[in-house]
Amino acid sequence: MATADYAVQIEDLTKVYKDFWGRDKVRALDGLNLTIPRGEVFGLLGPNGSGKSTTIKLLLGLIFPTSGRACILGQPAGNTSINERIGFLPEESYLYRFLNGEETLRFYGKLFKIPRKELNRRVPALLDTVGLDAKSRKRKLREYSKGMARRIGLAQALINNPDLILLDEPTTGLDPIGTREMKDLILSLKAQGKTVLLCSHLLADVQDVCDRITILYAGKMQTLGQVKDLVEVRGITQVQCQGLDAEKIREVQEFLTRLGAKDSVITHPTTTLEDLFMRVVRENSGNGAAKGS
Amino acid sequence: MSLDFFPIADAPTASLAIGWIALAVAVIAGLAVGFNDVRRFKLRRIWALSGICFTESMRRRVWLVTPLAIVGVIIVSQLQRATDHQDAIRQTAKFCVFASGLVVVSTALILACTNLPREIESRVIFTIVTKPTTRLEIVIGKVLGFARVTAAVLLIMGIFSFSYLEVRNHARMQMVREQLVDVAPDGAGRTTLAHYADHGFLQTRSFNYPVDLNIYSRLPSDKMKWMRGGTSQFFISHFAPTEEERAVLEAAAQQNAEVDILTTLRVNWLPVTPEEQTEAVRLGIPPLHPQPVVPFGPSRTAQTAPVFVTEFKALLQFRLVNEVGGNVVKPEDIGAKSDGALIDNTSNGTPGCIQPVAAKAVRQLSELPEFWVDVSGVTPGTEYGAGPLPVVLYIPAANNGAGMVIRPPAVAGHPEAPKFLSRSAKYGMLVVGAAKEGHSVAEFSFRGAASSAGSGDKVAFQLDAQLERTGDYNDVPSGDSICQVNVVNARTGRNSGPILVSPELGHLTFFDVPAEDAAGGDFDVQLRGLMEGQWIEVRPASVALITTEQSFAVNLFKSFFLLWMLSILVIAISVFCSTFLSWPIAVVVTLILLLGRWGVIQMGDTLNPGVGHTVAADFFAGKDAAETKAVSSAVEALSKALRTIAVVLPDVSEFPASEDLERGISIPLSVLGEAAESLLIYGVIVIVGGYIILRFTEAAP
Repeated sequence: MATADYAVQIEDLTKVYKDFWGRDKVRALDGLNLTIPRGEVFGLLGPNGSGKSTTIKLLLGLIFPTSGRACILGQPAGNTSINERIGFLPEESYLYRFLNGEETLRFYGKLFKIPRKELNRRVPALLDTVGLDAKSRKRKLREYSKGMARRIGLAQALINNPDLILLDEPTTGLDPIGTREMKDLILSLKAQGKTVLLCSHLLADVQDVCDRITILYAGKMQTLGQVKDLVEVRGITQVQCQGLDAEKIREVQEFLTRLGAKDSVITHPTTTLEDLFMRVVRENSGNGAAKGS
Repeated sequence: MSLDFFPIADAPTASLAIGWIALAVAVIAGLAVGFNDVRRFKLRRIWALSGICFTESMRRRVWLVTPLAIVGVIIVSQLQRATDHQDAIRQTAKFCVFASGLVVVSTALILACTNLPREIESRVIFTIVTKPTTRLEIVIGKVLGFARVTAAVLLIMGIFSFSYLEVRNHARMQMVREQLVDVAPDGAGRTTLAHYADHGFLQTRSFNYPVDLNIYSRLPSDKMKWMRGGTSQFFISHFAPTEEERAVLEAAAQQNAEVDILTTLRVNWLPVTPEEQTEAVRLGIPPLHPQPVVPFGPSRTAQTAPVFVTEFKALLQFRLVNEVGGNVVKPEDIGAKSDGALIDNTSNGTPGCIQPVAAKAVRQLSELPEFWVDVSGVTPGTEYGAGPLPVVLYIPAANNGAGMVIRPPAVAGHPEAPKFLSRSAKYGMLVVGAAKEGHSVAEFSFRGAASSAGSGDKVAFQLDAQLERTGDYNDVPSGDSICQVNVVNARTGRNSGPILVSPELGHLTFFDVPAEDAAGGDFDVQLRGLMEGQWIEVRPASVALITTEQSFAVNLFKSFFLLWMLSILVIAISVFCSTFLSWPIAVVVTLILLLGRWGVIQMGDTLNPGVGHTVAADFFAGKDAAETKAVSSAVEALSKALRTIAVVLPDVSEFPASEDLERGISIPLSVLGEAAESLLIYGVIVIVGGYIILRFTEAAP
């Protein structure tokens, strides 16, 4: 089954949680089939309890499947050796709170046997990438804000320059700037040819960065496809243009009515709050002023 | 009678063999389960994982336990009530090691038991197991990490202990020097004080101990060895019948035939001492002397066999015992003291007696690979002399009535010599003090001792004996005593002549002997108490040859190294338990695993086979037979289960960190080796166990 062209291959994967006596308690994942090609940003969506986290845990070998198979980068999930090529950002940054940012990255780097010299180069670069300044990288993680914890969590996920990155709620706790940076980073990872498996509740974030998504519900896959295809509203046409005054707009509306268009609405487009926030912050504080706070 | 001084056989090493087998099984199981993980094993990852444990512990200020322990040691050592300077230093050393052990073991227990469950609960483990880290590396990394923590704690405690003991030693030496000024040149105890003034109290010595200890009524002469009557002394003769001899014994048992204990002893009549008088009254035996008659005991046919011509008669008491002095045959089957054997002092120079062993006891003897005949002289004021072969077994029915003799096993071509012992008190066997010879003398035999011990023309000995006053000499002072020591070189026959030593109650005593008397390493140290009314209690190790003086710092290091090994064992077991238990339960289970064997050992004879029958007989006598049998079986099964547990669990007594250090004895490397062996066996087993459990346990349940 395992094909090297796919970053993730899941075949009829099922996970049933059992109670103390071995009786079935919850069927968290029910016969999931999924393949993710290399170089894709894939979104795993679904409400709480739909099986998203279970899927990620199964792929990482944190839990064992009840039935079915999963392969990562051509090897069975849970194989320790494949972890060399995986980066994982859990839904919360489960890190040693008594270490500072730099020590954290060095520790995880040692687990990958990265040479000291290379670590000396890679650690500061990664801390810069995730936006942790010189002062904050010396602070203990217990003193970090939630956003800073997500940043260092992301840095540890990237310490080994992985081919596949699993991000569980990556933007949770991040401010809009951080969210934008995270999305930019995901897109840059994609540009580097890396595969990203994204699991999030924040649908807008997913929509911005994902090539394909699937929606899980009650442990089963409900839909799968390209984002643009899935979100396209067929039967409604949208035309955007500039330079029309009120008179011309009225004429356009009359023209549309003559063409048989129903319920036509002509309004001014709105920007997103994220764009507005970014513009205001940039105008008042300069780029990156809120980083690391 | 205490049984401490019987020639105890080597303890069975079954548990050690089981340990190595279990270790091999664990390694094979580990390889079968995780051969790939073993191949991926990287020291750098393990060191990184251990560094996390170490850093966490340090940043959580675990080391703060050391100042608390240090303050505790200082307070307790200031409040101690020592009997003398040496005792004060000993107690302080004990407090230091005890506090260090307590701190390091409790720290190891808490840290190692809580770490993994906390990481699982906080899900930090997610970011570890999703890296290329094997479960084996995680387990070993944690054990190593906490071993580094305990090493740091012990380093702090070790530096403190050494410094504090040095300070106290210096102060005490100064006090001893001041005391010496006031002691007369020939005053009692001056030798010992001078020894302390010169060498201090932080001594570490190596000793050679005697290979044998015998207690006679007087020094052996020619081929005769003497014991005192009044049951104060006795001897034991070893028998290990061959297959053929056992077959003959069994045949005799089948024929319902008796076996005789043939004893050949000389008898001397002596004045009855006050102690013997008291003992005779206590035992209901009127003193035999001065009238040479037979005032007690029925005369039996077998005891007045025609080979002996009776002139004087003295009682003997026989027992058949095992290696620890327990009866292997009921005393009534060989004649109790009330109808004990009579020894006849013959006019033709062949004194002795025949003691029949009842036929029903012969079968028991035939089933034993070895046993000892215990012969006590009962009659007070009597001295019994034994030749090289005082006791044999005679089977009259063997060889179609021609008879057969069973002798003690041969040692160097001669029958094994009997071992002479005396009655025991709390500390050791009694050597009765007397101005004249003929009462009690202990002979400590050194063979192959370090012939180059000591410096220059003298060798030093340590005497570790207790003094006791008899109730018959109320006017005798109970403090110091005078002993006479003779050292006889077994090779050259050279005798040192009497050396007077003054042992003090509860103190170690040191004395020097000309080196040529101990030259060659084969010599006997003969010790005799000179004070009427005083007993000296001795053990086989009461006299020791001081072979080397070593650095106290090195010994302290060895002691702390033992503690460190113990802490690693605690950590390994704790990590193992924490792989499948919540931390509070893991703490409890770890303690049970660590102390289980010790607890079973503390129950002692309670768990011996047959306890079920004893309990049933004691508490259910006269009740329903089925109920009694059920109780007996259940108790027996429980006893067996506990004994099995004791064999399987680790033995924490193999990490004796304080005992030798406290006594100023160099901790032998063999002790470190045994501790390391125990750690290796149990450590590897629990680490592999922990790995296998983690390997098949979901990290995110």
